[in-house]
Amino acid sequence: MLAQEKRKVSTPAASTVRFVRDIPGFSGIQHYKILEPAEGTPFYRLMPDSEEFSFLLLHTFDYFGDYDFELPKQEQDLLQLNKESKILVFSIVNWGSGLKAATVNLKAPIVVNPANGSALQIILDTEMYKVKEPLLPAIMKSR
Amino acid sequence: MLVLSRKVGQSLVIQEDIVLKVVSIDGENVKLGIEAPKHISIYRDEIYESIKSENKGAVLNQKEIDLQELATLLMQSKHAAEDQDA
Repeated sequence: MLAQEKRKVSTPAASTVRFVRDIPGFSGIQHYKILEPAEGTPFYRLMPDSEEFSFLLLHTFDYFGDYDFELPKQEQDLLQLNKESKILVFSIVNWGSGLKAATVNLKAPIVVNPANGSALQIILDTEMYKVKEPLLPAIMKSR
Repeated sequence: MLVLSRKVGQSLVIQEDIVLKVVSIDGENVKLGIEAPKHISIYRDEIYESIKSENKGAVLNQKEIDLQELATLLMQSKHAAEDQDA
């Protein structure tokens, strides 16, 4: 199944997701919620239920129109996807020292199955996408 | 660290359901074949470490961040970019 199916799937204001595989660097945390972007900003937020931190997320296809990857069978099974399944793809934003320095991790997107709320971060086996892709040009281009 | 000697074609078993096989050796390159249950994730160490450190670096520690400020910054940058274009 190709992730380039850009069908829009609406998420509720705060949807609960369960990571079926730990986010690298954050072992033992499975339950997170994804918060909708605040008015005028493109950023979703991924927050664990139990911890006081969050990640900024970008809906990848909104800003990187050519982005695509093939989700391996193993990940499809973990997310319990079938042929008709829709998926959501997010990228983690590293805000760093500010907007101009901010980068997007295209190498390791977060894939969500909105039908059952399962999620995982996949590390793509490709040199095409960078761990630190500049954020600002992508945001400017999409406007 | 446990160190074991294996020849090409030989395997070792970890926890009953993970099999690691030496597929080929070519100079400094060793090809390994791995069979594991699908919930086990397998990555090249340096790639996994780079994603791990990127994730940790991307964390925002405050529970509430000022998204309005981000919005303003975005708008300012947008205008600045437009001014440059003009």
